[in-house]
Amino acid sequence: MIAIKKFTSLLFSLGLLGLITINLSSCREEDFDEPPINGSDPNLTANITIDSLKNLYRDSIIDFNKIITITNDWIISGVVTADDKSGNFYKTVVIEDATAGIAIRLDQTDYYTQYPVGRRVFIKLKGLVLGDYAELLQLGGYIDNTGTTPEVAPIPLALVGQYIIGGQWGLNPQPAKVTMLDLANTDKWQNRFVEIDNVEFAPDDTAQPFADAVLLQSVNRDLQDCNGGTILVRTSGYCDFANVLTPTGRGTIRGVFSVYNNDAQLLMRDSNDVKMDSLRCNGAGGTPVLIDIEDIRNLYNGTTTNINGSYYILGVVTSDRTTTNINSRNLFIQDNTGAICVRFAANHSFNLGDSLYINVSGQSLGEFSNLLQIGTSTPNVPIGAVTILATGKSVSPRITTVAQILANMSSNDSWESSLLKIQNASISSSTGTTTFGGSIQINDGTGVITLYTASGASFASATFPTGTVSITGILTDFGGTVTPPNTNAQIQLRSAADVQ
Amino acid sequence: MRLRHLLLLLVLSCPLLTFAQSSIVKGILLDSDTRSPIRDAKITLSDPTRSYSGQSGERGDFEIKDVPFGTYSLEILAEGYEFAKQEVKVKSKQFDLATIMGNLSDAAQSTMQDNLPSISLNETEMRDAGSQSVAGVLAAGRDPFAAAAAFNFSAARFRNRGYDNENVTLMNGIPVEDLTNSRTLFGAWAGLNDVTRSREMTFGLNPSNYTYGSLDGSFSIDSRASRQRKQFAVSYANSNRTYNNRLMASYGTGLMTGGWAFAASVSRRWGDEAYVPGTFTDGWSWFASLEKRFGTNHSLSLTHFGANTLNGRANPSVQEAYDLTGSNYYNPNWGYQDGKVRNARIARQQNPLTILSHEWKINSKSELETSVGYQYGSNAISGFDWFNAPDPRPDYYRNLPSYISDPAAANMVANLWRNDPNVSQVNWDRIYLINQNSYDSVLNANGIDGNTFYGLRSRYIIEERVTDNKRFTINSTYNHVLNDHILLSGGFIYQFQESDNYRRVKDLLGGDFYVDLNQWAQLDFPDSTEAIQNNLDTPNRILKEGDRFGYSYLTTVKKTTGWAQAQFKYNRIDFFAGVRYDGTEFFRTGQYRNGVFANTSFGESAKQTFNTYGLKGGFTYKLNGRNYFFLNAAKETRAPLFENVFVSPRTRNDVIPNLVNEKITSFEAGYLLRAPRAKIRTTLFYTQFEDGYNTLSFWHEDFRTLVNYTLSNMDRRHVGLEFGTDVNLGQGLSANMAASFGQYYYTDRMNAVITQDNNAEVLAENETIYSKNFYVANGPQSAFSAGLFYRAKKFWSVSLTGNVFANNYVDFNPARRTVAGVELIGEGPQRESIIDQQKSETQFTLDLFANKSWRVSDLVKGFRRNTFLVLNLGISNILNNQGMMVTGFEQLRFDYTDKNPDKFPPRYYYGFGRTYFTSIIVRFN
Repeated sequence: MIAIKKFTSLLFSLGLLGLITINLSSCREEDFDEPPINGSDPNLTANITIDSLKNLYRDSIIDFNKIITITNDWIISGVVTADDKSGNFYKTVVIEDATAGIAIRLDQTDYYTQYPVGRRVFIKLKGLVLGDYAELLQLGGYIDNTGTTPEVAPIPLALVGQYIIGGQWGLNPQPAKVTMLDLANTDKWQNRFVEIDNVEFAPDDTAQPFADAVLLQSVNRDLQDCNGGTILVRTSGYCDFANVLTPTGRGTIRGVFSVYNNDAQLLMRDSNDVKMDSLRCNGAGGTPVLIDIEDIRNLYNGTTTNINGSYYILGVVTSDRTTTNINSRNLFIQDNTGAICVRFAANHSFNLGDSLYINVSGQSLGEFSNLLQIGTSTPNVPIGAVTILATGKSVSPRITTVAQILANMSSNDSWESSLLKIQNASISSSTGTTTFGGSIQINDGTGVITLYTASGASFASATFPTGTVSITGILTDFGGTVTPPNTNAQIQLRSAADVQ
Repeated sequence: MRLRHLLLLLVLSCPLLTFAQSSIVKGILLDSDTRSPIRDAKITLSDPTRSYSGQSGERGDFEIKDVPFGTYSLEILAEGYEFAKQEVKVKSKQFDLATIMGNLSDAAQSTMQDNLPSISLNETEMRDAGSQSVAGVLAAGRDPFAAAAAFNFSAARFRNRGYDNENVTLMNGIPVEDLTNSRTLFGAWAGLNDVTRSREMTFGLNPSNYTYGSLDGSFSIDSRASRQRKQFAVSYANSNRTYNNRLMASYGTGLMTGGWAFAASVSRRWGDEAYVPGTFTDGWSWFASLEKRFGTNHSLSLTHFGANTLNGRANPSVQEAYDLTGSNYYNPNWGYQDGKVRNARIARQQNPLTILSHEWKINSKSELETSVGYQYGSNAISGFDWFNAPDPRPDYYRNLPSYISDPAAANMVANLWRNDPNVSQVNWDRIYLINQNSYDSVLNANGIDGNTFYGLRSRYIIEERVTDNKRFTINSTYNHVLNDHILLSGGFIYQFQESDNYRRVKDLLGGDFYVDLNQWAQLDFPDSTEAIQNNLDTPNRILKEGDRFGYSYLTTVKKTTGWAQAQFKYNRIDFFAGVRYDGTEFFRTGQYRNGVFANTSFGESAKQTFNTYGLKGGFTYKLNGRNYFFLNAAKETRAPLFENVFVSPRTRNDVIPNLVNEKITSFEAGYLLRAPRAKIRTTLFYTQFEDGYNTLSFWHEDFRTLVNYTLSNMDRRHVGLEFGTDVNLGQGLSANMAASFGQYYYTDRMNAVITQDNNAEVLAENETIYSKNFYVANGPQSAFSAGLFYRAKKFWSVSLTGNVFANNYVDFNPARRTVAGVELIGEGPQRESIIDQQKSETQFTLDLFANKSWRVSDLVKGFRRNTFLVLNLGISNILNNQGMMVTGFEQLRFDYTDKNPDKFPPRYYYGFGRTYFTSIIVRFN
């Protein structure tokens, strides 16, 4: 018994000892070791700066369009400032050190998985070639003599790893802050990652897609500062932000500065490289905010004005382009507060019932034949300003009388462009015609209003019914006064079915 | 104060010392029941630092000479008997212990070692399922911690102090080790349990009289004929672990008149239904020893033994395969062929050892023992090889559902895995079908232009990776008792080893021939006819079964060691100091001119030579006869191992540059209690290794070739505490407890030289492995056991032991802990999953052991008086815990493209669930 008691106490002391020991023997100081979070550089040292390399090239040639092969054991090192992740840089990686930047052509797609922006790379120059492409200096793998002029050919895929050695990553390169004036020195700044502040896209290039993603073509957009300086922003049609619209405001842009003969151009790495939320040099612009159509209408001050500031509208298309009763570059859009006509720069394809987002920032607002329009002056509203949010929506027409329509028109005209329905009316023609085409009259007993159908409308030659009908249509304006009924208001049908 | 005096003594040395007196200790051993004498018992008087032994004669009498006065623990070992341990104070010149009674019982310890769930005795291949768990078994003596570590912890592959091979094992004086990797060759005496029971051991850094020792002590097995009991014993064992049946017969004459002694033993182990499916054992073992004593001063003995063992191996697999098949013992190595189970991975070992020993008692104070050993033999392990064909192993990652991206298809494959052994196991029929339809011609066969060879060219074969060894060892040990306080020991060892390493065609699997070409080089050099030749001297060699191919080289290692040691013993203080010096030389001799390395593959490599030393010392303070405190320290350097420094020994002579010796510093300090009813040993240990090496080879995804990581600067620290106690609770009940709490981890970043097997280009000269603070994966770092042992008076006993294992870490892939391994991966779960090291969950097991013995004459009237019948039964892991990962390692292959660590997930090996071992022994004395 005593022995068991002793044993128990021994057990207890052992447990205690064990606990103490666990603490004692916890001499392993910290957690698991780990490789540096940003990796490490290879055992290579740069022995020439990029700027020296550029100078050597300049000194060694009399003219451009010469390509030299590097035979020295030179190594440059720089941080990647642009990669091919977004698609705007194709088989070209741009690096820079403290002195200058340079582009390297490599025959590898999606190389960003190895050499992303922010990774330091070491380039073993021996065996590579250096030349210019329209005055833009490039490193490449060999001289391609197959064309009319020798060209710098990309480093062959299998050899990329021999020449370009990755080092630390995640270095977050910072752009050099420059002005347009600085960039006049194209030789100094080419292939550098730069940031320009206080710039905006030229009015014709605002709210435009950066590039043509349909035809996969590069597009140049004009970038200007408030002092009249301009350069191009060049974007590839293959890149993943080709469809993004250029901002309308003023602000900052980053990218790799590049030259093409006499063109100074900036290549953005992705769409985050631009931030233009401020008012434009002339006071307009900014990040679009939702605006009611009623408020847009109220912006109109009697003469053609700009929609200063950055706005978009949301609404449902009430016009039917398929019946060609309205101009094919126009549509009518209506929200809970009102409706308006939008004039586009080109024929559009938005259908009756489409729910649309339309960026109206900086657009003109004016009357065409008394009808208020967004985009009344050229370049009008770009198709690209529109995003289709939904289709097949419908708007309930306001049920009203001719007298009330005319009364609204002479007060604030807030019903203009909206969908209306007049009941218990009859249709007649003061000129004796029997078809919809042209101006005929609606009479509901409270008054008379013009029913206008364009001669090119698909139902222009259809015979209008003569009994008591209800009529649904869009209230529009005509520049002159139609006699009778001596008003400039008119109803436009979407189709013959609007009369029932 | 006292300590300073001690040091002074050590420095100023002996003349100042007073010499204690010594005694002749006598006594008689009798059976308590019958009063008949107990012969051939080993009587040992020991204190923690020294021991004196004698043997009982025909009348049970014994005499131990030259025992210095002092307090000793008396221990008597006699087959079939139990003796109470006692303390004696030797204080007269003629010290008579009078009559000592022994109780008949079969010592559980002596048969318990059969009962261990050890896996396999020789590891010819790193990371193979087989593993050495035997070192601990040998340690199982009277030390409470060592016994628990051996019997209770071995199932979880516990390693003492987290060490790998830090134990010196001598067989009749010969160190039995493979010099290329320093592993002890336990397999040489597999199955010879009866004749290897006589052993002496030291723990930790304590001194020994027969070897300088190592960090984890030493064992000396004495199998000479005169040390074998006079007996004839036959036993049969049945188990479901690594074999099913074992039959063993042993015979010993004891020392006969005329000074002759003879002993022999033979055993067979066999069985097709071992615990893991597809594994089996088939082994014969033999032993014979003849000894002649000339007068009282000389003894000459010749011992020959060996074991020829075939083992069907298990391979650790991935968890996905275990889950699909519903068993953690899924073994991808086997499949059905004509309805019969066939294992592709069979280990074959036969390494017989012959030892000639001479013992010379020069005078009453000096003794010289000299042994010469010669061992020759072969280790071979089989496996698939294939050429221009997909990997045939069922758990190859492309054959698993997780590889298939389409969920419906993956599900179909998963269902096949669950239900169709042709999918989850090796599909032998398919392999034969492919080979039997593989008609092909080889141009310029056997290097003869225009010689075209036609026939069925095997796409798949079974190859054997063979190592044929020759080892020669001579060892001489001298002991001299200078006086009652000082024992001087010293020795000289010369070891020579030559190993022939090659691949051999074992089975063409239905084809007519195979060609000696390097399929990996073919990927790298598709147009080269030279590069793909394994042997340029006979290009396009046509291979038949039994032919050597692939690689072929000799490893030659020579090692010379000298050591000396002095032990000092006084009333309150014992201390010792030792020194060792060795010279090592090794080189490679290429026998093939490899097509990729035509200039560096053939002939002798540069000879690598290393000079190393060891120093050790320690002291023990004896508070009284029961309480001891000790402190030992060692400092040594060690030559790198052949196995770890050749960048690609299969193909070429290149060694990693600037080789340096490994440096080791070790301390241990502890407390011992030797009370009549309780034993305690507790030790704090600290060992720092610096500049270790290791070489790993694996398939590299990006380079599409075999890549070698030669790791250097492997610094690791092993610290922890060991505790063991054995308490006699009275009435036959005793309790024991053992615990080891350790932390074994790398203390620095390793460096890797990375080379390819098929290209001379060095991929990285100095790749940093971010390995600091990673754990050394070598069994559980914490283990705990507690047990109760009951011994009844009627010759039966039973014990029940519970074990807890924790912190068993998965071996990590260094390639994943490099900058390249996490290239461009930011902080987050993916990075963590690549870097972090896994460990097993804490595990619990319960073991039962029971034993009963009879004197046959009590059962059958008129039977010989000295005939005993013994029954043993052991049940391990009674609770059938099948989730105990005992070995786990990350695959060295890594998905560099997507950096998905789950593409090549870790492989695990699980400890056995519930198993049994039972044996019946009949013994005539």
